[in-house]
Amino acid sequence: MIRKLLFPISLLGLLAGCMGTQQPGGQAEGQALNTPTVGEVAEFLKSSGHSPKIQRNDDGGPMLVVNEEGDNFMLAFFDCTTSGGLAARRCTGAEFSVAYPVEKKPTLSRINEMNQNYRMVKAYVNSEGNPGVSMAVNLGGAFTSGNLADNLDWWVSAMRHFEEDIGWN
Amino acid sequence: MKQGIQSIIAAAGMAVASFIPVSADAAQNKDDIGGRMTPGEIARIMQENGYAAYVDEDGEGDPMIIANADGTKFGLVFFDCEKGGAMPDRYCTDLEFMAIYDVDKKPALVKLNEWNAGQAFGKAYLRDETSVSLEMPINLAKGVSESFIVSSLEWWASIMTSFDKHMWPK
Repeated sequence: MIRKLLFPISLLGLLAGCMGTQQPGGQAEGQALNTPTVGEVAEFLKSSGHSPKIQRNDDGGPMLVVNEEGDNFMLAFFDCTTSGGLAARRCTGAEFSVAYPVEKKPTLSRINEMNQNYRMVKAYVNSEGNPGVSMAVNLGGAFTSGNLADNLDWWVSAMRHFEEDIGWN
Repeated sequence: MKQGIQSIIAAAGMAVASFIPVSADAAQNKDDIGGRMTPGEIARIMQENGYAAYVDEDGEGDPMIIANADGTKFGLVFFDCEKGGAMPDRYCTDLEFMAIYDVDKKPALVKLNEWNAGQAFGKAYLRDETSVSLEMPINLAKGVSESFIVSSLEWWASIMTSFDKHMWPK
């Protein structure tokens, strides 16, 4: 596992702490989902304490705007069915993302360094020149709401970790 | 430009030849959700979907899958794994698809950033002066099914093709 070998031990420990790494267990948890609708994903987020709003993206597809302790992040959907209302669409992929209008922009070299170290997310500079972070999740096929909750935990931890890395707040 | 799972193997000090057979147990229903989606089960699903795939051991004693799709080699590396038992049977909480591209000319970081900003799946970064990584993590924790793994495989196959076109247009 080359990336493990490249990490200094201290950095591995830091990442594990920041990213909510868990120990293997192997128990299914939560309700069964099967390529859930956008509405089902929104309901899940509500049950997790968030306030998602379903919106139409530039391509006419569904997206969620989600509030997390005062900050908004997006959940964009991909490879969606096209009939019915936005909440009824089923999509096989989704991407959590947020960008930050920081004064001191990170260099692409620094962004590349972050991407070498990050595990579940990726960093980039968006078209406005602001640093952004995103995490794509597969929604196709059958899985549990526990798996989705785990992804949400990963995302929120990674978002906070990224904010520290770019000096936000 | 070549894909280089061999790079992973060589760098991690592993033997290519240590083939570990995969269990032939077939899932009852592709939507059945189990709590333990093991490397052996994932390798079986890959084989049944047209991939050459086998479970090996990485340089740290954890499982990994060496795979090939249409001549492109890639690996699946596993994280937070059980430490005992046969490699194919060790449950791990998440995995990462990984392809390493050995390059003659170092690509511009702006090209990699275009990919990362414009694509949902697949993180690309410069590893060093002569290689680029494309990675896609998948969370296996708390219950996934065979159909979930198949969908993940479809995303990975799709982005490998797109990444190649983005970085090295013909």
